Amino acid sequence: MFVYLKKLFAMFLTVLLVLLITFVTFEIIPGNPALSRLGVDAQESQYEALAAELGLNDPLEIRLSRWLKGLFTGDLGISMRYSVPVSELILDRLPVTISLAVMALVLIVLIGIPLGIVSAKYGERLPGILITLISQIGMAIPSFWSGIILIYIFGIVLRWVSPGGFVPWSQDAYGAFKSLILPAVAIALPSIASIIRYTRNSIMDQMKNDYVQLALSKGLNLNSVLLRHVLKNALIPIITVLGMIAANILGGSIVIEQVFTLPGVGRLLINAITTRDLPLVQGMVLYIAFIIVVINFFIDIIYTVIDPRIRLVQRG
Amino acid sequence: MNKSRINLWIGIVLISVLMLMMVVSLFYTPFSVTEINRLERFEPPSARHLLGTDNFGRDVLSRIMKGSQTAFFVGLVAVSIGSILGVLIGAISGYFGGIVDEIIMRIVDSMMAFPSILLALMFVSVFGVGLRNTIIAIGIMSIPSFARITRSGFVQHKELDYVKNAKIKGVSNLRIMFRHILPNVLSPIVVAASMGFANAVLAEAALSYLGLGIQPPNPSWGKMLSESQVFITVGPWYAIAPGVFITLLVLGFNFLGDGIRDIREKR
Repeated sequence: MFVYLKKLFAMFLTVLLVLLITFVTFEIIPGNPALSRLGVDAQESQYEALAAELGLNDPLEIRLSRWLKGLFTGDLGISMRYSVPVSELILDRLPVTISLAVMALVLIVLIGIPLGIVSAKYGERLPGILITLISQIGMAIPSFWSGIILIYIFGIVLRWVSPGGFVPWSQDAYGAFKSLILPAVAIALPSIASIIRYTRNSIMDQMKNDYVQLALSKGLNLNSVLLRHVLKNALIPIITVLGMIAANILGGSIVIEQVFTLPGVGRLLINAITTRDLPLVQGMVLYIAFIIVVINFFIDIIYTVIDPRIRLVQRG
Repeated sequence: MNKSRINLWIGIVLISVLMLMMVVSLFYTPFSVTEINRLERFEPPSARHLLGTDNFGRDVLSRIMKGSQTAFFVGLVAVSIGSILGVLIGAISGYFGGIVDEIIMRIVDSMMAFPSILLALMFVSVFGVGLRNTIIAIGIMSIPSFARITRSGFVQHKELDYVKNAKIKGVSNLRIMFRHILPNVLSPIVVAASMGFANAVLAEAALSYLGLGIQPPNPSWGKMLSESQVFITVGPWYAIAPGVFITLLVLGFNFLGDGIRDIREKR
């Protein structure tokens, strides 16, 4: 139990630091939120009133503690441009981004891991080398470019989907799927490539173990050794990569939503940056980082539960 | 040829070809990069325009060549910033250990909680767009990985006899860190630098694609992609060329990094 409490404490510490990093970064901003909201020809009295209302004249530590208090009650601040709570704006856009992330994750696991297994099975022979080479290229292709190419092939040449835009799931589930599948593929491609490599390396490490040689010399064929003995052990380290994959998916969707003009969290963020709606940017950066920290925490817990050796090592 | 060297050689060849192109573009491009030619809009690739022309009738190859300057420059400077600061932080953290290490590594871990593009976007939104800020943002974004790798090398080496020996002889900490330990832990840092270069090229392209990186008239492959996307039905080649070159450059540095690691593991 102690191990989990320690991990929980470490997670809170990380969250706190993420909060501090975000707060400090947005403190450095040249200019003043009250001034940028009113415009340059605002009157002195107007400015003073707004600055007082926003609490800009308070000392740093007061502002920090007020901001933190707000965060714990779920208040991420108020968007300058929309004059709506940031949390409301994010929740509004969340369904699109979550759908994208889930679809991408399914693609990554269903395509990446089997290909990794196949590639490990053939080792240094041609199919193995070929898959490794393709995954190497897959990691190098920028996701927004593969997005553009996918739009060109499936939207313009083949006309299977109409590129861009989004139909809500509740309105037309098939339409929603169709509008999200290409962006999901574009987000998934680099992660598929890296999970192929991890799976391959992890399996090939396992293959060096004595138990594999024993199973093979007992006359079991390679396929069943791979699937029944090796895979179980090889997949455990891959779980730790999932945290990185989650970060990749969220980072990828920020860019890809722009390519496909999807009304998700990523597009909201880019719009917020271009219109210099800094409270919105700050709230969103925090929100996304928080999600990643929590995901990593749970992955860590799952990892410890699955592999008791880790618990023992950490205790000692 | 030695099989374990194949990654290294693919990397070197790819990078050399692209670097040659970059150097040539400093003195010569087939056509002007900025001059608008309304008569030659959206010409498909031909002997005259090897990669076709864009919506202003400008030669795509010439613009790709000029864009390679930006890609190499951003990659080089950003990796230098990231590696120098990261190595410094990692070395202090790993060598001194204790509470300093604990604090630094916590901060580094928290920075890793931000997807790297998000970290870069946050800095760009605070400091503004443009070449300089793009480089700084990407440089900062790569600090955590350098710090981690350096730290783990220092943690291993500080317990070794040669370091203990130097300490007994009264060699200063600074000298032990950077003259004794650093050369021994350099190779994983070089691998990280190669991979970091690839990531910097990708990040610059992504930021510029979003309109938050390099601003015109500076040429950038990412910017070219965002301009070309609008015209993809009339000039698909315009959208293909920049992507291919980004991929080749990233591929080159990834192969180089793998190649250096292969050699190290062989030893």
